[in-house]
Amino acid sequence: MPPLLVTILDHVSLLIELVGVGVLISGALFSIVRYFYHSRVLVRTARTKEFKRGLGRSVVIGLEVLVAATIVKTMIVKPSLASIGLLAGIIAIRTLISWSMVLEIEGHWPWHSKPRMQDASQKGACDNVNR
Amino acid sequence: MPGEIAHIIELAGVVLVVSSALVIVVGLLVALGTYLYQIHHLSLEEGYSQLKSRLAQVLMLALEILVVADVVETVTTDVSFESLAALGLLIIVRTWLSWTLELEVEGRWPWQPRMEE
Repeated sequence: MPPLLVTILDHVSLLIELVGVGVLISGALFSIVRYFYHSRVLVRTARTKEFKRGLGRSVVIGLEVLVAATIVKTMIVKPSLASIGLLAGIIAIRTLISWSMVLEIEGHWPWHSKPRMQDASQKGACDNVNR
Repeated sequence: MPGEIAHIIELAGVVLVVSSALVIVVGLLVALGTYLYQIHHLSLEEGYSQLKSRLAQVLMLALEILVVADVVETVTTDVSFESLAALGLLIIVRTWLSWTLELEVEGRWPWQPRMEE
């Protein structure tokens, strides 16, 4: 691959990483602000639950953006076992975090889907809180 | 393999890699832009799940193009056990990613049957 292209893709992956970190930070700030905003409306347990869900959502989206950056990195990495093994480790950790976040937000592993009826009723309940 | 043909095939691989990078960049911008544009019309929950599945779809498409690039690369790579093992690991990483992304979008592994509606 031409060296110019490698430099460009390197910068691209850096930019995507910045976007991912931005998502994480702004999501966390938003959740914190929302927590205090809700303090007048909701009881403590509901507030805490919403706060946790908000944090989890921003982590999942941020991770997904960071995975995009890693995919770009796999394009330019020198094909050696050590460097690709490192990327594989990062991807494995991110996958694990993303699964445990989904577990925390939705209460079940990503590959266990709940019955639709239950999903719908829960969604309705959360929508009331979100506004 | 004659040098010229190897060169052409290598170029094709580079074109594939670049197009997949373009898919990621454009798709990321579109997904985030759509989310920000719709942020006032949707509840947090809906916006989140739409953004999540849009992002995953973009990444899946990019990975699929990269798999083609990998296959092309197996043609041109200098065959040694080291380079072959590295390429194999890279392909495993990408396959793993595309499985877990499908898991995120569909809520099931690719080999599981679709849920009854």
